[in-house]
Amino acid sequence: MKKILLTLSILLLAVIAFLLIMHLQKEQSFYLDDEYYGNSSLIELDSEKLEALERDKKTFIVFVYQPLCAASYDLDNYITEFTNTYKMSFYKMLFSSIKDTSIAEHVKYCPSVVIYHKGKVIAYLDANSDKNATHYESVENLKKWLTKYILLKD
Amino acid sequence: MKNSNIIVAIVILLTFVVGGVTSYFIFNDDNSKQLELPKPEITEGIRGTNFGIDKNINEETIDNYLNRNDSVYRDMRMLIDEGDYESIGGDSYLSGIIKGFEVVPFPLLLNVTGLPETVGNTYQGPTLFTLTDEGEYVANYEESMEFLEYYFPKDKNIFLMCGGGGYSGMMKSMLIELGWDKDKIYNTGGHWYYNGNNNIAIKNISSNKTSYDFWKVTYHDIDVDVLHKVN
Repeated sequence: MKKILLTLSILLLAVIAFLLIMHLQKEQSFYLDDEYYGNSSLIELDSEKLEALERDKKTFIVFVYQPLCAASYDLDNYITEFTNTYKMSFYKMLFSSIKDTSIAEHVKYCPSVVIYHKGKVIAYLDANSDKNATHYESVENLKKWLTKYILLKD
Repeated sequence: MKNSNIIVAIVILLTFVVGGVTSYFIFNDDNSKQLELPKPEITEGIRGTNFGIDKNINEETIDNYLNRNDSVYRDMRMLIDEGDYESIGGDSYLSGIIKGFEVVPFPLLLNVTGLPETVGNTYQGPTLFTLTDEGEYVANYEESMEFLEYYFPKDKNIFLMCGGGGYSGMMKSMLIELGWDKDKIYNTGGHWYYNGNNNIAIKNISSNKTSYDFWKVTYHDIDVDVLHKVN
């Protein structure tokens, strides 16, 4: 009897821990600012506008690209598909324009996707890291990465 | 008298020995400064899987491996790419290069496919080789292989670069497929990511006017009219 109770207690604790972790993870996710939902578009961004968004503590996403890069072209397609499906707007910024911005402190190679939360970079895709390699491979894998941080609206 | 002759002879001998040893160290100074090359190793992420960019010798570290007499340096871009990169906000012109790199335009070596639709086609003229649908590299001219061996000598280390690492990755694959030693070829990545101390700026912007100093580039054009087509 004691053994059964002990097993049940352990199981219960595991379930509670699991639910707690799930809850905390959900807590960490957040919505972009309202203006980025409802329309699907990729808006060109320059360093001045980026600084303004940071000053205003906005929550948004930037796609860093390079026109001559085949990998940028693939990721562009996945991002376009994602924003069309979920009616969301992202910014897009030329790799050559990120110098002297906060993005350059993190992103060394393109293409990349940078997530800002309240004016701060909280995550980005690294083209030079195996950890992110799969997230460049398909729109589904990209979505998996994005939704670790951001919440979608129906 | 005899002793003094012996002393003079010893002094002369010592002078030769000391002079020889000193000369050896002076004239071999370049070699002693050269870093030992790590074996080519693919970097992480899509830069590795898509382009085969090197983990150890790349845009961040290439400055440490320049001016080697056991190596050649090749940039695979065209001076002016025929793809319409302006249509997507890019630049079809070669805007900068690293000191010591010579340009051997990849689109003149091999038919390039797979560019974004909006860019259209890059150079579509004759090429030294054709990559067939079966993945085979076929020489189009009798001199094609000789050209490759001249500009990519098999007895040297070969450092490749381009804009983002794509053309240089394709060049590396082609050389390996055609029999080059894979341990001597490094895809050092893309000039777009280079922030080192050996950049030569080709693009100039002054008074809202843009110009390109192509005269600063050692460019190896290929005139196929003087070559002999393979039947």
